[in-house]
Amino acid sequence: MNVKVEKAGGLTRFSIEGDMTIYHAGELKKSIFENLQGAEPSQGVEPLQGAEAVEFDLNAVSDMDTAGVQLLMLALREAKACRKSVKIAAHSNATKKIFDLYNLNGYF
Amino acid sequence: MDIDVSQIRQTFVAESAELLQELENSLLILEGSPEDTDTIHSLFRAVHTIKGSAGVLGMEAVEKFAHAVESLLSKVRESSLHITKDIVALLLECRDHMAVLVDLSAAASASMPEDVAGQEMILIDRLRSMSPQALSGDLMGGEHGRAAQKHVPAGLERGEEGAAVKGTVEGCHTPQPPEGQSVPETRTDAWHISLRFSREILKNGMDPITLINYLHRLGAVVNLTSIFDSMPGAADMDPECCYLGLEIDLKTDAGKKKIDDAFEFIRNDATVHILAPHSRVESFKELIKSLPEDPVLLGEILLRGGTLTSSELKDALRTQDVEARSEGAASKRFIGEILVSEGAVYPEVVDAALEKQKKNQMFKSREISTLRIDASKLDTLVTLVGELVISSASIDQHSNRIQDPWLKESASLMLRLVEEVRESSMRLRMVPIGETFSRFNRVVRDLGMESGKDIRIVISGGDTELDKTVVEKINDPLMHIVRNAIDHGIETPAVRRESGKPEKATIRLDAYHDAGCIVIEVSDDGRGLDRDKIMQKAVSIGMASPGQLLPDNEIYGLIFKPGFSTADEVTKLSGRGVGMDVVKRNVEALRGTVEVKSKEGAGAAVVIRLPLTLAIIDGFMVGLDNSLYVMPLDMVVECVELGEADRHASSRRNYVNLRGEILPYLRLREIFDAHGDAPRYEHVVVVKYAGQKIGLVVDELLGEVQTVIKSLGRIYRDLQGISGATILGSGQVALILDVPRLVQAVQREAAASPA
Amino acid sequence: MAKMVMVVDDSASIRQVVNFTLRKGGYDVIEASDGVDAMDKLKGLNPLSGQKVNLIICDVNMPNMDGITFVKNLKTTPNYRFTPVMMFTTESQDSKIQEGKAAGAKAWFVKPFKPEQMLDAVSKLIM
Repeated sequence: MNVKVEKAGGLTRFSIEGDMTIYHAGELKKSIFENLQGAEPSQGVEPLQGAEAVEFDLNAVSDMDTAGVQLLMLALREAKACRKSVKIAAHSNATKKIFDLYNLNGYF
Repeated sequence: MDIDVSQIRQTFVAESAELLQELENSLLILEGSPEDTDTIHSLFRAVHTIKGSAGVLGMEAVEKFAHAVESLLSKVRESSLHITKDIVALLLECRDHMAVLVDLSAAASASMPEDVAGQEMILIDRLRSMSPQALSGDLMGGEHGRAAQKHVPAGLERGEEGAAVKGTVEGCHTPQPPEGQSVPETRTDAWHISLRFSREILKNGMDPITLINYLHRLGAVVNLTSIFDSMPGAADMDPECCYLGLEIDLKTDAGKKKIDDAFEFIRNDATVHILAPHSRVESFKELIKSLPEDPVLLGEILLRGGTLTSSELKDALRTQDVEARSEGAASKRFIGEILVSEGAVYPEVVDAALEKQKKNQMFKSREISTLRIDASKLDTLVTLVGELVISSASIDQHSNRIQDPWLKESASLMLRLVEEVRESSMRLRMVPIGETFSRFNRVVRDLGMESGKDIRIVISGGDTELDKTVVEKINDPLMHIVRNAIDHGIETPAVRRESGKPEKATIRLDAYHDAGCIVIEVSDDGRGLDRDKIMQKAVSIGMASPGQLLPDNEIYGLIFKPGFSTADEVTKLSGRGVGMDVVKRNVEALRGTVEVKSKEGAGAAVVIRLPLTLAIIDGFMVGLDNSLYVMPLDMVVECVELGEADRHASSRRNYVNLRGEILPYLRLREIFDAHGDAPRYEHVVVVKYAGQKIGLVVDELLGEVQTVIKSLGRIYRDLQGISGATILGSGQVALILDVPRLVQAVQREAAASPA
Repeated sequence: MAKMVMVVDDSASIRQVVNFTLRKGGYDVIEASDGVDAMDKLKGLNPLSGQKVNLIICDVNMPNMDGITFVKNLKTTPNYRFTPVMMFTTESQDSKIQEGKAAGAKAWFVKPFKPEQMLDAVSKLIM
């Protein structure tokens, strides 16, 4: 598995390649949350102002399991707590299937 | 499902034969050391595997009987029953019976012949009497017993979880209204399934996603909500743990059992609630109460799924503790998120798009390390390789003639490759003789018991490899020899004691390589052959004249003569001989020879020599008056020139002086009646067989060739000194010399006219 | 991509039946004749290049390395420690099943079986 992180403007973009499975869960968690931190939740609660965005590009994910999904849900929750928006920019067949089965498409 | 049953049956038969052999070996070991746990385990495993395979292949007769045997063995394994001679004897009979059953099943015969069925009844009775409590249930119950154990998930029957809440199937609340009393029911026609997974489930290799996928196969998942409510903050979250809960509504025709079974593998890793369609509202209340999440959330989920109507929900929630509810809602921020985004949450039910994606072969499954091949396919291959050898020899000859360096190089490379192909294809046919040998464990044991003799068998050289055909055909001759040794060679314990030998007699089976041959030796430490009595008999039936002096090996050789010792009293007198002529015939059919050695009072040995392979030999070609002859290369020791002096003397004596050694020889010109004059220089090819060297006088030495043996037609079968023919690369025919016979002929001659 | 199932059983005929059944069900199959063979074959695969076994179906009683020892070893093999294992047994011995579960084999499947039963069980473990 390989995670590429690009930060541009207010956007943090994760491009994940390979297997998002339990075998890589520790590694994946580390690379996601290291990059989500640093932006403390803004105290001013002004949703329109400079809301940062997080994007996941899953297009190159070859396999995903529940451990992988779980980390995305965790990222979603943490990001939302910091008033960031989270989007799945692209799915692969594998991730699409998991999202469909878990009925998660509405969250992102 | 169109499984190629006949092919798998074949595999089963071959495999069972091996396992039955293993079984027998184990039993024989146990007879000597009944406490050997390794052997007990391998015994158990053999029966167990037969039973398992038979069950899978639907061979019920085998399976049922193996199961009965296994039941007894499991008592042995658990040490609640100890191995005795009686048990070994019984199990050996059971083994034989299993072999019969396997054969019957393989032949796909529908019904069991009466005698087999009768035998089975008796054996099962005896098995039962050995261990009544172990067997009665299993055997009496027969089919029922088995059906019951067929597919029971491990956790269910035993209540292993005890009082622990987690992992039990808590709710299978099916509607069972007490009679005559109406109970409020919900209106939904979907099943509601509520799942909470253990933290460990992912680490245990179970992924809840597969269950969702599975439920989609059972019916329509009309609603599914994933709950990650119990997931802690990023700092504390263990990425290998599972924090998932699922609430699922499923419309299906499948029964409760089938739905329940979907969770059979995760019972220890999940709390499962299953509510049937139209369950009582009370059941939902209980469910909501028992789940860790906020009741409002759960209520919403149920409502959304159409499982509950809002009034039902209201009713359900009224009973909940209001304060606890609001507290719960406040502490769980994530719930809010879910509900806020509700509008977007409803995706369509995942549908046919979810059907399996096209399966691309990732990579072919690697084959297992052994492969069973139809012997006839192998034979075809070997025949073809034989032809290839001939035609490549032909190419080689032509390339030598043409003298083109490139052609020559290619031809010699090809020749080398063909040689390798030949060797490896011959190796394909080679199998170790060990398996054949180990059958004699049983034979010796049984015959020894029958005849009241105490015999052990010592096997060595079991990994010596022989052509498969040879291995198959050598079994019967060996059986004859071993039987003879036991019947006639080995004395009773009393007699042995008197003559100062150990009471336990020994029979040895040995195999080894010797000068291009495989030697199989069966020896015993019995009384040996009685030279005088054999001679007496030979004289009485006119095979020898009275007073004739014969060397020992010739006298012993008499027992291989047809008609020599078939009569019973002769057999007893000679000590050997039942069907020994048959043995000899069989061995010779394999191009082998057989001889017997004996030391009176100390034992006898029958030595069988067999060629390594049947089809192709490395030969040494010689010329004789325009004809070509080939002899097996590995029997050729050296070539010398026939000296002038020896030539002149040769008409008087048929031996030469080879560095001080007396070497008897044969002139092939004489044997094959060659016309024309002998060349000026003749050559002696020194050949060796069974420790005996002789010389063969030929005109010309032509060198090594590879030859494919073609058997001669029936008409030439009795040709003296020739064992076959071969076609050379040039298309010429060469005859293959029967060196063993020639050696024997020389020996006979030398014996008949002692110098 | 088809999921890969490894079948570990000392009986060639059982392997053959299971192999056949699973292939019909759309899975790829790799066979091993005992625990040692299975470990060797697993180590021979390269997960980085997409070669991985998604499910292992394993007999209990086998020569060389029995099923339970194999599972124990599997659970300490980095690339396969979370791979689901379905033990395949005629065992009705409680203690064996308990031992196996403790070792990490959570799914148990009782021989003999019909092909459909096998596929049904497998589909509860992998997609």
